[in-house]
Amino acid sequence: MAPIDLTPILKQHLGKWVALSDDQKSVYASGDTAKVAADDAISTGHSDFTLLFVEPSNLLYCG
Amino acid sequence: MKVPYLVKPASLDFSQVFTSQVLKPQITIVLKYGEKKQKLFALIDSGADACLFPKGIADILGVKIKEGQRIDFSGIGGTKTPFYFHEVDILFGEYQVKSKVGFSTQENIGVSGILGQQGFFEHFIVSYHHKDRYVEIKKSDFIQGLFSKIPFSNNIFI
Repeated sequence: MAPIDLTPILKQHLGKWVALSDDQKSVYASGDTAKVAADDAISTGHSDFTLLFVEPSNLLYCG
Repeated sequence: MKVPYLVKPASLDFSQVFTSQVLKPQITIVLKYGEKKQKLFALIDSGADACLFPKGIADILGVKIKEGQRIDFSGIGGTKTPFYFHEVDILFGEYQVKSKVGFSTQENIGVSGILGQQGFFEHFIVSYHHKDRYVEIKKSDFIQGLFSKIPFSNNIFI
């Protein structure tokens, strides 16, 4: 199964929350918190989106 | 249900040792609290003792974080982080389960959300297929009954 490669659209949002379109090809909004990203997406007319925190490029998750 | 891994940018250090991208077993879920709901990616983390989310998700759902029961968690490094537990619905694909999940008062917990043993693995059988880049998730009513009887202790590993 092919993985979903979000690298191209996430590179410019490292360390931010993003509101992604359902097809995961567009970033509707980004912000320092989940709520800021969600509010910005809604304010630009997007009610259906998926929130994602983009880990900073200098850190990796280890639990 | 089979869900493909997410591919995300890696750090320079990681790139020098492995590859320039990291594979994440992150799936799209919906958290529902009362009439409010939010769709987000969450990491399936078999090493986490419970399902955990940052403050911003609680704010969107209207959860009053500190009204929940506090449980302290720690990860690598040992720093203790409190989470406050509330009952929500987790919607995933065709499934909907009621779970107690923890919300932090911090905006950043390292990922969008964590799906751990209590609240997620107690409901589902999860198999990782790293080589083929997907995670397979099935509902398990038997496991749900078994694990729901195990109580929390005071300090738990993320």
